[in-house]
Amino acid sequence: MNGWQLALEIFLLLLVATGAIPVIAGALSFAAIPFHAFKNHYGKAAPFTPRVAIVIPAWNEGAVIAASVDRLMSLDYPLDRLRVFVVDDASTDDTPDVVRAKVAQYPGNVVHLRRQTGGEGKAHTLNHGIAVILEDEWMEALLVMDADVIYQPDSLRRMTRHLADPKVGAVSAYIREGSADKNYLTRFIGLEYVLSQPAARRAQNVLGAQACLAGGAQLHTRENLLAIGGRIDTSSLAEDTITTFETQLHGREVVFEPLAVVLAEEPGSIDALWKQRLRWARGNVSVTARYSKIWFRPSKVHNLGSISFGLVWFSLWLLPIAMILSSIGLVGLLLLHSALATAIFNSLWIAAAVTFAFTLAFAVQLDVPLTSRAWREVITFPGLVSMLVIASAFFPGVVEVWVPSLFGMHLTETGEFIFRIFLYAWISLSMLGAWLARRIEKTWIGRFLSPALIYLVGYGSLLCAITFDSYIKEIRGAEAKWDKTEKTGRVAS
Amino acid sequence: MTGSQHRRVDFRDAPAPADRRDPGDDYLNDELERNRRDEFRLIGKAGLALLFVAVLVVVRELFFV
Repeated sequence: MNGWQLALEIFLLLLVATGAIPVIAGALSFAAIPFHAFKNHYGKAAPFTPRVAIVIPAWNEGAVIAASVDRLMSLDYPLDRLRVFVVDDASTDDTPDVVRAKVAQYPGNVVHLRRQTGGEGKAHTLNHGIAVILEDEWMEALLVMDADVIYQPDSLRRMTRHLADPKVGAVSAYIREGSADKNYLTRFIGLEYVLSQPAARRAQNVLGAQACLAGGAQLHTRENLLAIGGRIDTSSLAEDTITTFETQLHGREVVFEPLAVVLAEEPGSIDALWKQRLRWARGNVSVTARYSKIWFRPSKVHNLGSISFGLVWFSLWLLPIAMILSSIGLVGLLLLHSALATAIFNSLWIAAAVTFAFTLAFAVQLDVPLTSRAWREVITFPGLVSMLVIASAFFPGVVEVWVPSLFGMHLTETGEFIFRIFLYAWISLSMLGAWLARRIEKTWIGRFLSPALIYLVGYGSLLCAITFDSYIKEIRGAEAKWDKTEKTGRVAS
Repeated sequence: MTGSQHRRVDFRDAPAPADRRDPGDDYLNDELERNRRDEFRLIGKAGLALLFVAVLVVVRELFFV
């Protein structure tokens, strides 16, 4: 082997190694969860029922807003300490009439605010309400929520108890997918939310830094709200994440309360999910740039600069790039006829398989009622083809030798080479499959083929494809506009 | 629909308090302590998940390596 070949091989190995970073970050994050038994905020929490102002942004929410207000009025919380401010964002449906009826039904507890010109986005609507709420001293804590979510009766009091600790600036709850008419996609989303909330956010409690307060359930102290400027950021599509970061940068803790459960309606189509997540992903690009000076710089004030938090943040944000670089490295090593290619591929996928198996086996126990109904999505979460790739690495010979032998066949040398190329490139190809699933979703064949494609390529690949799309949109400088996720009142309590 | 008619996710909860809007500090402290203790179940759940991974590794080592 000459010097150039050696240098190329080392370069390709480095590319492959980028694929290991998300695996390591995922493993570290999930390994932290059991420590929540010892490092949680329950020891510093206490019975506490501050005067809570609930602000609901509402644009054409006539179908859901009445039930939302009724449910809030029946929360397990002292009624004299609860006020609901519905900020009607110039709705063109019957939202104003519905809210006015609720004001009459709950005098002193429900307030109707209306913006004459709307459509500027959720943050502007929230700020209209917050400005009114801050005009007097009544509000001690502010709950930001969405019009369609359903708070379980005890959820608010489970959140407020953490505010008894003056070091806490904000508390978030577990947003649980709650559509009554679940389809394959909402079941995948439900499972994703288990992985990202009662699992990953518990880990973030342990690590001492929260990435994002849920937009539909964020409770702030008045002091925290004033400290971060008394308003929600309007310059980005990731106002929830910016609020979360600002809270922590001002030296206040953000606590995730896994037992405060809020049901939410999530997109039931790939197209709607794509738009929602593209908005989130593009928001995260701006957050990453805005806070460029905090990453990997430990601070005494906050933990956002810790190595562990930076690893978790960037491994998710850069996951599609890691997948593509890793594929390029593996295919390159194979084409170089490097003896390392197979060994590295097996090591990477075995590590991924072990992490995947652990995270899924752990997560399904964190919300058994939900995950038991989504058992098909649990089994196929990595994607059926990825499971074959995993099997090929974890159980050598099964896919290449045993399966063909069942049909009296065997792979030739050329066939095995092509099969290997496919295996190594699959992690990148899977994103193309997810993109295709969206493209054909609205065609007659897409109604059947799109779900089948998502089961084949995996839900994670769909999310990666959306993140990759956000890179393209950012590079092209595409307009970052607020796309309200369509809600139809499908949540069932 | 009243609050008490909503189905709860946390099935390990104690019986609902007499006054659900103002259950009193004793009840809330008990609930807090119960929730704190429940977090120790995470250790068992992680153990079960590890056991599942261990079974996969043993199968691999016994039959495929």
